[in-house]
Amino acid sequence: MKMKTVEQRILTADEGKYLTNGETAGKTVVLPADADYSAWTEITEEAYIKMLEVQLERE
Amino acid sequence: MSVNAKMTAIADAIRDKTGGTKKLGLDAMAVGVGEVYETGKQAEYDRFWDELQDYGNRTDYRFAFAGRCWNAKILQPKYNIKPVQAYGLFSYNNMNVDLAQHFDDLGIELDLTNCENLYQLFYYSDVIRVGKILCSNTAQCGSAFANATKLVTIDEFGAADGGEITKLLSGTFSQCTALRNITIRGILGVNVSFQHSPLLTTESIQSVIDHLKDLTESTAQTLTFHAAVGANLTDVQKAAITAKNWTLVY
Repeated sequence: MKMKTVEQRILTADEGKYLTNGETAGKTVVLPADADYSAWTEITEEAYIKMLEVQLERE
Repeated sequence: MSVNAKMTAIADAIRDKTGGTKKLGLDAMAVGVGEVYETGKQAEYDRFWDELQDYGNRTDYRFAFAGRCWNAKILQPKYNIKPVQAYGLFSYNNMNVDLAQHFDDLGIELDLTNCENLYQLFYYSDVIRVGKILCSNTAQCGSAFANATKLVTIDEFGAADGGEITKLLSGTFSQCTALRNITIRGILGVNVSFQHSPLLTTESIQSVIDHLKDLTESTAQTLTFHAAVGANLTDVQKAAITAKNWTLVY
């Protein structure tokens, strides 16, 4: 039998907000335990929609 | 010229176009006129596709079948499609069909194994299903399927040699809102997003997770799923993702 313990950091956005690192965004971010979570910031839904629009134009 | 001579001239013209040598009576000439039409049609088909596909030698297919004019009736290639450059190849086209089946029916193979550039390959295409999209591991895959909002199935996607896709961009599957089925081949080594695909099957999700590169000795990358998909991930799946030093976003 193999057993492995995986530690994680889970960031959850407040109501009406999203989390982003500038590249992608979502309501929940699950990071490896030792990952740098400082890159993730909360943005408003309005800013999130704007971000999607910018991505769409960039593609 | 006598009627007989005129009839002989018509028969000669039919034989000249259809390649026959038999003596033609009136009934055979009536059939022959139809054969002339079909022969001409085939000759025109050959002329068009011989030119467009360089007798099967074309490798630069940038934007070759791009635009709304290309639908299933018109896109009837004569030769296999084996591009080195496929930038925008099927972008904005009107192929509202199962493209893999369409090419199978024609006996045509879409072979991307030597392809270096899949950028916007199916960008804004109406295609519903595509077959094996297996390319060079150094291929540029940005926006390859972006805005293909009717795309339901990608039979296989990844590096042809089972290696690592290194130039996958987060926008590769952007706005693939109907995408349900995808099987990954090789390894996904960089940020990948299915942010706009809420309908991914359990098998497809697992295929993505199973093919994430182990980044425990290198910089973490992000895997983004639609919120509806993320909400249904199991703890085991989440652990499998973060154990490889990937950040899961949904």
